[in-house]
Amino acid sequence: MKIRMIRDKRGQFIVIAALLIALMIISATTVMFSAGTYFKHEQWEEYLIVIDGVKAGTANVLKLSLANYTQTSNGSVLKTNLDSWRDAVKNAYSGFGAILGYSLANGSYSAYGMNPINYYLGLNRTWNKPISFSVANATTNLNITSVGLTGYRFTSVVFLKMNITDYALWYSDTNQVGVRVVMYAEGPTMLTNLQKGNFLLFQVNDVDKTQNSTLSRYYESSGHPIKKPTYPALNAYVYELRYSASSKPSSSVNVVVTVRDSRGIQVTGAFNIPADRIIDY
Amino acid sequence: MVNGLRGRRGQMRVVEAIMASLIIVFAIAFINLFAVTPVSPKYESSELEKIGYNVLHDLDEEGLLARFVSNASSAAWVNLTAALAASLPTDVYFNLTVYDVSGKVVNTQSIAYGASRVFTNSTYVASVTYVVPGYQLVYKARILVLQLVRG
Repeated sequence: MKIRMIRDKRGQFIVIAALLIALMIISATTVMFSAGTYFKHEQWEEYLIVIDGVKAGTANVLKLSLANYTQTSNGSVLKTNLDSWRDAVKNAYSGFGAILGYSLANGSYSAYGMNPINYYLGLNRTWNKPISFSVANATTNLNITSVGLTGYRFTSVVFLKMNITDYALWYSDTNQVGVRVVMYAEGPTMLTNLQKGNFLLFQVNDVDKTQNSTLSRYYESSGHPIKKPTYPALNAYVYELRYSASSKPSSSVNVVVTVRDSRGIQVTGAFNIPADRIIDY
Repeated sequence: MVNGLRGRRGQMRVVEAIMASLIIVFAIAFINLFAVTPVSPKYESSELEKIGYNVLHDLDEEGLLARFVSNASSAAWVNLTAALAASLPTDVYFNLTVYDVSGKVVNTQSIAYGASRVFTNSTYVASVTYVVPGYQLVYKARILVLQLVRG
């Protein structure tokens, strides 16, 4: 009887120790679970919404500033607009303590394979070339003082590029020449939503053919049926402007094309297409 | 021999205690999977804010938001109301106010869906602020405050 009591008492001590260990494990699990789900209780979504909103708005400021620059040649428009945007962000998100700073690209940078681009006050337009483009570039610094977020930097680039392709096409059955253009936006992504109305100017040897031309659009892949001679496929979405001609051009053709995209950004390209680059379709 | 028995019995109790603790923990975790907790005002508000922001952002990406806001005509406010009503879930009521940067209200008529008492009586109203910098070539910032309530 005495031996059993001692045995039971000893066992109970171990039980208490085990329970304490189990309690510690449960406590640690609870603490870890709380730490893991802490983010749910914090208003992260609100801060993310503010950051996303500022980023989207800044990109929009660049778009409308570049549209303004390409249409009016106001070279300081981006700086003026970003100054105003900084004040608007401060007012709109005053409860968060949002403070926006920015720096404009100045000097030589590369973007989307174009190197170098000489920016002035964050803007550049390189026009009247076979590969022409309009671009805006600014780096923004966002602080949200209410949560101690400082130095959140992001770079916004808005870009529109026109590539007048090396080859033009001659359609002997309809007596038409097809000048082919490929358009890119930032990303770089090919622009596929342009309509005839987006082509503001199509000039051939100083003659305006905008009204007397047609636009066809297609994706040129390796299976594109060009009769002769064979040439490497562009693997790109092509806008082809066709104009009537009495015969196949025997000398070079000077073309100028101006496009304004849905954002209002404009670009003008020019190319003197040699006669031997006008191929039979 | 007695010592050996003592030790074994103690160990078995340790094992029993640990197993009992584990059963309790697993039972709580298992019940938690099926527990339908009431919606926290904080979570509900956060969810509505996300919905509201996404709708405004989508309309902005499509170029509709800037066009309606910059137009600032009666027809534009009607169209904006219709666009928001079509984009938001049917059980979500909204009230949008458009301000200029000095804080003056720009919209001349209500851009809302649902009675005004819905917003005053509701315990939690989500609010989203979205800034539209301008439209086409013109910088003219407008601050949009969208209030949302689930009906």
